Amino acid sequence: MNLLVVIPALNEERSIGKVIDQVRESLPFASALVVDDGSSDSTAKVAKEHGAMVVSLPFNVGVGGAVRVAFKFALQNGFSTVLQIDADGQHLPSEALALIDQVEKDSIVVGSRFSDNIFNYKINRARRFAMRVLAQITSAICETKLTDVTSGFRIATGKSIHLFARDYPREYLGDTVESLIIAHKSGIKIKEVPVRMNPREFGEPSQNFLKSFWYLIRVLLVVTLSIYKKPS
Amino acid sequence: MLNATYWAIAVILFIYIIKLLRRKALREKYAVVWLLLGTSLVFGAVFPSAVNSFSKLLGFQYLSNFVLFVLVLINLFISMQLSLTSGKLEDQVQTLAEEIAIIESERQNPS
Repeated sequence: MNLLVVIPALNEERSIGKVIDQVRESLPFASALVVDDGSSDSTAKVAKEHGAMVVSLPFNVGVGGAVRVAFKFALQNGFSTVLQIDADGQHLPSEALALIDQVEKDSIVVGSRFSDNIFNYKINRARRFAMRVLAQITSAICETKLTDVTSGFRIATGKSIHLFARDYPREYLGDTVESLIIAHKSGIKIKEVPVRMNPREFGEPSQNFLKSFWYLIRVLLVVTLSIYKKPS
Repeated sequence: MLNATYWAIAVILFIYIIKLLRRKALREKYAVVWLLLGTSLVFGAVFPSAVNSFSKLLGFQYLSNFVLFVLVLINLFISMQLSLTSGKLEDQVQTLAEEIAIIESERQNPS
């Protein structure tokens, strides 16, 4: 397997080194690519020192844009499989083996922190509610049982790489959900696998009620629009 | 007095648009709608009665209602246009940024 591990990063100099080390340790056969989304700290430098390839965006374009760059890179450099993980240390590269295990030709496998037991991952009520609603709606659209549609821990192969290099959604925060819908519309198989995740090491997750509510509204809008969007 | 003010505004706007066009600060694409607006303002200043009867014809009770309605409509159209254009520009800029980032990384680590 020709695997590219993609780590989109924005000002993650404190955690990026450790994440890259874990990737190299758990997935020694893979290449690591850090997409530096216009960081103002030394994220790119630290990533290079830890042996990752680095693509630096000239300014901040948002996670969606950063992920799309990674898929373009994968396509241009002939990678057959792309694993996406967060730079904040939330995802455990060792858990990626569970995703790799389930991967097929032209598919997406999402690592879910909720599949087993929703309570083992600490999260506040409003946000959990928002995520549940999103998961149910997305499951219905994608005709697959999904529990954690906002997870950025996922693997993509074959046709999905071509699709995302061209058409990965750039809408802020809605990208994870919309990308699944786009993939489903293009006939790509979507699967979910339970994984363990760390609580965030650094950085505050957005955790107040109003924020969760607005987040839900925004993503629902994105989802609704994406159903009717013409494929480009 | 009001009529003179109106005249002045219409003529100044019209001259300003022409000037921007000559300096190539305003692209022809967007100029059309502004020129139309400028000409109709001048037209309204020259033939206020024509505007009046036209608004009566459309069923407006007051001339001011008609003028405001038309201006709001034009504004709506222009802001719609601008949203479309800026969205497209954003997309293009982002795509360029992505391409540059990849090319730059290849330049720094030739494989």
